[in-house]
Amino acid sequence: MFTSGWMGKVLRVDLTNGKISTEPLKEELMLNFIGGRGINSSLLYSETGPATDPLGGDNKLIIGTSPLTGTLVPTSSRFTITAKSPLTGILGDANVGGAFAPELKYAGFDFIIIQGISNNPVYLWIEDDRVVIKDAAYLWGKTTQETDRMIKEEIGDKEIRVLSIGLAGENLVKIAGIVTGVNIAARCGLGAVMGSKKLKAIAVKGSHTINISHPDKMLKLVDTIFEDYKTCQSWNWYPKLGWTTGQRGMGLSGCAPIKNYLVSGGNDYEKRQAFLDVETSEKYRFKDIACFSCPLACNKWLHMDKLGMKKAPAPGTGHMAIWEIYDYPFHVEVNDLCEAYGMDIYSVQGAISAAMEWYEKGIITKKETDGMEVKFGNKDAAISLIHKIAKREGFGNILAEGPIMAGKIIGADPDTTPACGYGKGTDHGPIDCTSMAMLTLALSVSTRGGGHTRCTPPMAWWGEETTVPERWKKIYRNAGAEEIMNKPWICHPVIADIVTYFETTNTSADIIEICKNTMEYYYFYGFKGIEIKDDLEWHAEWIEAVTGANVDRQYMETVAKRVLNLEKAYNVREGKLREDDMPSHRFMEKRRGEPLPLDGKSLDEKELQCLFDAYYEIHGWDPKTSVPKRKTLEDLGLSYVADDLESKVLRLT
Amino acid sequence: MSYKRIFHAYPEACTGCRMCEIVCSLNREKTGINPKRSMIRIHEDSQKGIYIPTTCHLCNDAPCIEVCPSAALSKNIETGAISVDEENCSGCELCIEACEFGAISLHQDKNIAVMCDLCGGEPKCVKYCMQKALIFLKPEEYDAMKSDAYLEK
Repeated sequence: MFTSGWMGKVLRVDLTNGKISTEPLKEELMLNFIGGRGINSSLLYSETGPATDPLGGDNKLIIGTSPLTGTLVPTSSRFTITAKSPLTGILGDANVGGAFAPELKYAGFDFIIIQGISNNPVYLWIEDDRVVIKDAAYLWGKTTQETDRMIKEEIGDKEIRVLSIGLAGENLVKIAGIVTGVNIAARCGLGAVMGSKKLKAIAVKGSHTINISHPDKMLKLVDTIFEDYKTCQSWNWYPKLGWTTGQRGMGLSGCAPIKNYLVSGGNDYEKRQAFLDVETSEKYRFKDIACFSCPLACNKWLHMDKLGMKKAPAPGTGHMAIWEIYDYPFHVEVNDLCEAYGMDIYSVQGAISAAMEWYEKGIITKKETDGMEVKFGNKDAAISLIHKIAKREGFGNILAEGPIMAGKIIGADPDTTPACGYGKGTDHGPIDCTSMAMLTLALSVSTRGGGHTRCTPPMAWWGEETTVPERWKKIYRNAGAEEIMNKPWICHPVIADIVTYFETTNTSADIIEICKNTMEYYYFYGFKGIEIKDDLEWHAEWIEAVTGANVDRQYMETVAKRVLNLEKAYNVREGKLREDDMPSHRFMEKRRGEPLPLDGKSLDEKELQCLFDAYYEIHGWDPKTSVPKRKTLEDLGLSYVADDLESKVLRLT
Repeated sequence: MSYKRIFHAYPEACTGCRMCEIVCSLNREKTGINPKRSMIRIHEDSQKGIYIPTTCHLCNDAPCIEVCPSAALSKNIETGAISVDEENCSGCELCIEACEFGAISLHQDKNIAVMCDLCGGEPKCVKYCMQKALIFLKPEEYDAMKSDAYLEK
C-alpha cells in the first residue's frame, strides 16, 4: 500500500555482541501504525515489558521516522526516540527536530533499534548501508557540542548529523536527554538509556533519495500551507518574539509558576515583562535558525556580552521565576549548561525548585546540600547543583533521580512539600494549570506522563473570550459551555471531548512526525487552512501525496486511537492505573489572588474527578481503573494486547 | 545585457531550513529528494550560526564556460543561466575546479557536470524561501527594492 516515502529498512544493533542487522520494515506495522511514535510504541510494546530493566541490556532504544521525514512537507524533520523510561518505569518517548532524521532516511533507514550493552564506550557511524560501531573512548566525558564537533573532525565531514549524550546520560542521570544540533529530545530520561548502553553517539550521512508518489500534489499542499503560514499568528510571533512566544499569555493566565509552584504566577508579571519584550529580543538576537524543512525558524542564536554566542532557551522554559530568579543572561547560561550536559531543563527546573522549597522549610539542611544555601533566588547554588546533578556528585546524586523520586528519597510530603508533576512519576516544566481545567486534564492523562505537547486544546487564555478561536467558540456554545470561555477553571464535561480531539490530532502529528506548529495547535490559531479541513484531513493528504497510499481522515483517526490505546495498555501492564494519572495536589490548591485575571483561580478537585470519568468513558476505558475495555481494544485490532493484559495483569471488563 | 535578472543570496537571512535544497533536488530528480543532489547548497557551520547559500552566480565571463574543452557549457542570453550539454560533457571536472563558488557538481549517476538552470526562468528555490534569503529579480525590480530599503532607513 505504501509505495513511496519509506526507505523500507530497520537497522538493529546489538551492542552486547556487536551484531548489526537489517530487517525489512513490516507492511503490517506500516498499515496499523504508519510510522514515528506509532511504530515506536508498537515495537516497544512487543519487545519490552514489566520484566525489562530500563537501564539493562534488554531495554530497547528505538529511533523512528515517518514517510514524510526528509521531504518538502513543512516542519517534517521531527523524529521520536522511545524506550522504557528509567525516570518513570513506563513508556518513555521524546520528540525532537533538527536534521538527524532526514539524514537517517537518506542513509536508507527508517528506524534504528538499539539493544544490549557495550563493554566500552562506542558510537555508531552510519554511511548509507555501511554501519560500523566505533570506539568512543576519546569522546566519553565530552559535552554534546564537543562530541558533535569531534566526530565531524574524526570523519572529516561537516555534513554528517550527530545524535549524542552528554555527561548526564553517561552518568545515568534519570533526567538526561539526547541532543542533536541545537535540539534536545529531553523528556523521560532517555539519555540515561543511551548511557547505560555505553553508546555515546550516532552519526549519519546518506546519499539515497526519498521517493515521492505524487510530487505535484505535495507541492500544491505546500503552496497552500505556505500562504497560510503568512497569515497565522505563529508566523507573526516567531520572527519577532521567538523564544518568548506563549510566555505572555501564560503569565497573564496565572499559568507561569513562581517558587516551586507556591505562587500560581501572574503577580510577578512586571518583572517578567522585561524578558518578553521585542526590544530584549532584538538586543541579544543575531540569527534565526531552523530545523530541516521548517520555514518558521523558532530557534534563535543570541550574543551575550559575557557568554558569547548561545542558543536562546526554548519558549516553554521562558523564565526562571520557578527559582525566583529574574535574569535573562542567567537563564541563557542555565539552558546552555543543560544542553552541554544533555539534560532536560524542565526536570532540572523542577528538581532544583523543589530542593529550594525543601531547604527553606527545613526538610533538608546544609548537611544534605553539601554546605550550600539552596534558597530561592540563589543563583550560585542553582548553577552548582546543575553541575552536581550531571556528575552525580553529593546532593546532585539524589536530584539526579528526578524531582519526584528525589522527594521520596528525602522523605518530603508529596502533599505539602511536593516536587510537582502531572501523574505517573513525571515532573513538568514551569507550567501551572491550576486555572485551566482543560490543560490539567490533558497533561495528566498523557501516556508518557505530563507533557504539554501531547495535547494542548484551545482555551480562554487569561480568561479572555477573544483568545478562543471562532471554530471552538461554536463548539463551546453548542455544548452549553459558554461560561468556560471566560472561566477556564470550570470543569464542564465538554472539556473531555475537546481534550480527546486534540489528543488524537497531536498523536497523529507524532505518528507522521510533523511539528505541532503546523497544526491547529495552541500557537497556530490564525491558520486558515484549518477552516477548509482539519488536522487529520491534512495529515491524511500529506501521507497520500508522499506515499501514494489511499488514506483518509477516518484512517488517521483510527491509527491515532490505536496508538494511544496501545500506549495506555503498556502503562497498565506496568501497573499504572487511574490514581497514577492524578496531578500533584498543589495544582488544585488556591494560591494567591493577585491583580491579574486568572491569578488565584483554581479548579475544584471533585469536579476534576468527574472530568476524568468523562474522559475515560469517551475512550472506552473502565472509569474505575482507567484500564481499556476488551471491546475497545478489539475494535482497534488490538485483541493481542487484550489477551496479553488478561494473561499478565487483570481481567478486562 | 547578458542576462535579465539578478540572482542573490543573503547569508544573514538564511536559517538553514534547506527548503531550497529539498525542492531543487525534487525538481531535478523528479520524484526523489536528497539535498545533496541540489544545485543550490547551504554551506554551514552550525555551531557558529553560519549558513551560506551557494549556487551559480551567473557570471558574465564565466570561467566554467571558458575552461570546458568540449564546449559543453553555454550561457542563455535570455535568462543568464548556464546550461550543460549532456551529450558533449565528458565529466572531466575542469569546470567544477574553475568555479570559485563551488556551484557545479558531478551528477552521481550520470557522471556529467550539473548546475543551476534557473528552473527555466522561475527558480523554485526562490519561491520556497520564506525568509527571503534568496531573490531573483529584474534589474529594475532590484533597484526599486534597494531604494525602498534605503528610504526606510
